[in-house]
Amino acid sequence: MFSYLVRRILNLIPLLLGVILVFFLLFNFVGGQESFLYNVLPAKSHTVEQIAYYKHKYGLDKPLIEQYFDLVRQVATFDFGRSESTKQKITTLIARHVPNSAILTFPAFAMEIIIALIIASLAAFYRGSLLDKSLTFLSVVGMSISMLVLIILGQTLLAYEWKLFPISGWENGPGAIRYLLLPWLLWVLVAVGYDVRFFRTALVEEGEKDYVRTARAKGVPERRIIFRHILKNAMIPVLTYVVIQIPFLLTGSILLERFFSIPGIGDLMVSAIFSYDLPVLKAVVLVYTLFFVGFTLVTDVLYALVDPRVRLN
Amino acid sequence: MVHRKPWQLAVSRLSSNKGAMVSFFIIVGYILMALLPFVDFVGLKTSATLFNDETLKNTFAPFTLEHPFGTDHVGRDVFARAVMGTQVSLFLGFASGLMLIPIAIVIGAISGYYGGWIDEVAGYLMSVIVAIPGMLIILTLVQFGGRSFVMIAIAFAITGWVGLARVVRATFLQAREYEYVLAARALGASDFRIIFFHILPNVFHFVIITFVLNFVEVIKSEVFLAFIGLSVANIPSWGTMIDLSKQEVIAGNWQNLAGATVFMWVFLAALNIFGDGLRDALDPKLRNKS
Repeated sequence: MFSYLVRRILNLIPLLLGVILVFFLLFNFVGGQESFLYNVLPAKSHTVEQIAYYKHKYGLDKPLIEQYFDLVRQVATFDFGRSESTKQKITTLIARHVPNSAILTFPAFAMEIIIALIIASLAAFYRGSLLDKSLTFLSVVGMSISMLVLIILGQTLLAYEWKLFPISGWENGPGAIRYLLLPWLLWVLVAVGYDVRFFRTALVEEGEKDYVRTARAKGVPERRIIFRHILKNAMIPVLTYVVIQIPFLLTGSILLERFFSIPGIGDLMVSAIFSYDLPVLKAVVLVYTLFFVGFTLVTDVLYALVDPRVRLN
Repeated sequence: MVHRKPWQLAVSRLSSNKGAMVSFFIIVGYILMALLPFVDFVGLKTSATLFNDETLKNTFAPFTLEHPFGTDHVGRDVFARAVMGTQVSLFLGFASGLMLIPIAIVIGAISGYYGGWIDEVAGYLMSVIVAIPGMLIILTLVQFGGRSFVMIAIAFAITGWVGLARVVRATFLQAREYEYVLAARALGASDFRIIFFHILPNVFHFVIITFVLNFVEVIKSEVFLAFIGLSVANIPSWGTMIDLSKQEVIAGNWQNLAGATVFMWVFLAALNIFGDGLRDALDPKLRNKS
């Protein structure tokens, strides 16, 4: 087990170096660095000397290989410097935005998974019936609508016309719940269609296995078969599916955060793109990658704990 | 019983699926619709793009027979604009799909077939691309690389090939051990022939399904890009229409939102249902599951 853990952690190093390289290439060769300088600096400082001064300040005059290792060092020490537009420390900025994204996405995600599981169980239990067909149809309807349309409709009708929710806003502490209700509702509506379909397939597949037929043949009551046999075993694909999505929750939802003025990390990222705030953008991407990679590692290790066969590969 | 080829079986399975057939004809309808602006049918292109003193008197017109979805803030016909938007969506879907599939097939096939260090490198490349938020690569490429639909399609292709490549790789990894591949090799078939004529047909159904469902992803992402402000100016697309409508609906002007949403929703629902039908028809393992 220990050697497996060490091997997995060592494997992360080339992966992170690769991610940093892709990021580096993206910004150097697609032309990001130059336009970054021209957009960040006020027009009157577009003189040759000023540009040269700032190039030096950001280390853009060094050889490329040195710039790359500067980036690697920033990630390793978790020191990304200060934001170009607000001059705040980037680590503080990120530490402040991540919890807001998490509070937006985690409760919504949990609610949505429970609702999707209930709907999928109904559809799978009454498989082939009118109920099943209409539920499946409704999930396709939900999957085919754009999230942006749902947000516009929700904000205009539910918040503006009918005044059921505040239109947008934010306050720290428990007061935030007032502003989060509508985004949570919209999140559930957007995601539930996909998940119902996935869970239904998982349940139907499980229900066709031989042991279920055996249970039925020996006269186990149908309700017991559903809850004790099928649902319990179908939890394996369902949980895998749920776990995969967790790292994406930390980055929040860019659309919801922008529309409802929630100061989360998605919002930070888009503001950074708009204001050409390269240091912040860099930090957000790399932090996201760290989340993703770290979480994958944790789940893999947990799998290895549960299933010894994994360790051998 | 008369012997039937696998694709004949698939076609007959697909044609007995009513929902999938209706969706298929809807998709064909959209493709034909996208061709309409080229012939400028009944002045469609003109009423979608032109505005002048005359049209400015008739802004935000209500839904009538003459303007099924009304007119927009400068008096252009919203229905005509939605038809024009079909072009953008189809272009993005086809272009990104046609780029993504060859990349996925070549990388997946080569890494699965040869294994060894080639496989290691390809696997490394895939995990690096997956670890970076895809939307960020797309935003960066479009923001800094130029705002054109070609660039958007390239960005989608760069971020979208990994899923298909992994399936192709897994199939090749298994298939290279099978007897039919050994037999082909014993008969002196080249690697190229074995990869493309013997093993590749096994994943063909997956390629088609990926191609169809890629449209759904790309069309939805185009709306997102338009919202972020990264769409192409002066070309009507569903994304820019929905983006414009976010300021208009508060004042009760639903034209743009209604037009773009109806066009987009029908198309995406048809693609989703047709994609499901294809999966059921082409993948024998999944039959009777739905």
